[in-house]
Amino acid sequence: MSGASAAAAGPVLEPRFSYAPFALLVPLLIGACALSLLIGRTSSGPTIGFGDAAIAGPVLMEIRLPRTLLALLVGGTLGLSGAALQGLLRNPLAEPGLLGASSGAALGAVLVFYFGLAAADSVVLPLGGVAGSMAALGLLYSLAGRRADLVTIVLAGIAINALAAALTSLALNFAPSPYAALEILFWMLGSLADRSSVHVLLAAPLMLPGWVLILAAARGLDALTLGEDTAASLGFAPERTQWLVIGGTALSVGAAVAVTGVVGFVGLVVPHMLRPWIGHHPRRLLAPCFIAGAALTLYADVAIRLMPPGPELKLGVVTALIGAPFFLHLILRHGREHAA
Amino acid sequence: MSLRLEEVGVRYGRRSAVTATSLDLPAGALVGLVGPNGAGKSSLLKAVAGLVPHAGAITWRSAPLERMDRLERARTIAYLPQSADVHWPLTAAEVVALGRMPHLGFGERPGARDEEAIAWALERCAARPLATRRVDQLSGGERARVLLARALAVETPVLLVDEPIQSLDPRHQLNIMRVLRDSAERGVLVVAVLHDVALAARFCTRVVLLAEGRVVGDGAPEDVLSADALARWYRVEPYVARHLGEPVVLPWRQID
Repeated sequence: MSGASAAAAGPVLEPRFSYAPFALLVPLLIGACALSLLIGRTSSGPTIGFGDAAIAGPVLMEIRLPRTLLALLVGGTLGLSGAALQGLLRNPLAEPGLLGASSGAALGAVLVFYFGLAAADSVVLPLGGVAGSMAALGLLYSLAGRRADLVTIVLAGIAINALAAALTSLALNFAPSPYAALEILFWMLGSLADRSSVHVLLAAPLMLPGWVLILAAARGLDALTLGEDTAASLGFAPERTQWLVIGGTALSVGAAVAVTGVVGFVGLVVPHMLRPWIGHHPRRLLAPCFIAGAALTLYADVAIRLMPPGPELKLGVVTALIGAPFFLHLILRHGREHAA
Repeated sequence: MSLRLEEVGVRYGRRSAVTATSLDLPAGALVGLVGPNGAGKSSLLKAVAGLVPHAGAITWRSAPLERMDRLERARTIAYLPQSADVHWPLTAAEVVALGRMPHLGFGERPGARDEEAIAWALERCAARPLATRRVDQLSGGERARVLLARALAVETPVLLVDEPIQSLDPRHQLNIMRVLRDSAERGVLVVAVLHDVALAARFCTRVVLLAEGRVVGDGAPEDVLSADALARWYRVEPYVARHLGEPVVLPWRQID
């Protein structure tokens, strides 16, 4: 081989893998965690520090720590699954809710409210959410089949989203009382307030295997950059990659929605923020997107606590207010690039 | 040391694309797979690449392909599809680096050996100057060369290419055909689906003519791409000659 002369001309692989993104993202995340532990909120507005020495321990351990951990888990899940789904669909406009996992989870939780089971035990609500997201995944699989092409899967996801939205509306329509309807509506807006370690313990065991499934698909996502046939010829069966990502997303995003309600746009926005900086390799984006998703969610949640006194803003409202214009900007830019 | 196809058939639903095709393709050959549109050329290539289910048996060095594990198969057969899609704006070098994936374990980063293979593949396709350019900013011809380099970088004993020269200018068509011929001379079995019978006649060491899903001609380019065969299967009358000892086959006018 004539490799010697080529190698002498210097390495051609660039940009190389680098730790630089982590050097910036990890401190950003640690800073977010610190702020989240330090800043709280009462009905009279934001509170800095832990207040009276007598309550400092419980405030930190029972209120702020679970809330911080949950923001980290949920934000990380949304960032990771957003990056993975965009890689799988090879479309930068994809987001974790696309395939029905979030709306399924939301419906599951709403049904728990509807049947009045939420009051019985705070665990029932997230369990209903998880059951809902699993049902949505099962429906997606049976609609699309094992060897389905991605267009069929996306269309099946849209159908599931529509069905879940219709059933959610039905539950609202026949809500036992106006108060129950309001409770359902507020829950769906997405929030980290008043969550406890129970929620963390419930969500984490489902999120972890979800993350593992997504990470197992990472190399397959890289191979898919060249299309399904080339990916298969490189030894990465597209349908394996596909169901690893879809299953992992359903597990982890389903668990996230089950404990916090719908927090939109984090999974869409985060990969876009990182691409100019880290590049477009689907695999290289996964870990940074996890960290950035967690950091973004934490900062959004801290910002909520810093608002002036009054009803607490819901996290899902904040992420939607930031995310929707960003999404619009992406679509406009996408259109311009295609026109050019 | 050969790729053997025995009674290979490909069906899409009720339509049969390839029927009972048997071929014995030795290492070190540049085999041109030619034939009119819809003859089953791409389907046959995909069957060998393991991308479509097929009837019959395909073996490499007497080992059945379907019994190989997926990475072993990927290290044996490289496949370059017709479409030139690259879904993310990676650099040319990053695209070629994807060809090294079958050689890397989970979490393993490309090493010096991989860098060498990537540089060498880019060099051979005259794509070295493009290494740091983003593929979405390359011309169609430049991108085709980068994608062929990606397939070469896998360094397999069998290389399947589906119409590698369709979007290239004449100079780069000749360059790519030369690269494929060089690979064959290094001992690789190259099977190329070609529409350009002139280039097939000029560069291939063997031509397989497919029509209606069957092999209707197999042998030396000049014998297979005869005036009679072109008239019968392509419905064209060729200009046939020799230039500097090489065959010239030029489709000249269509036969009504």
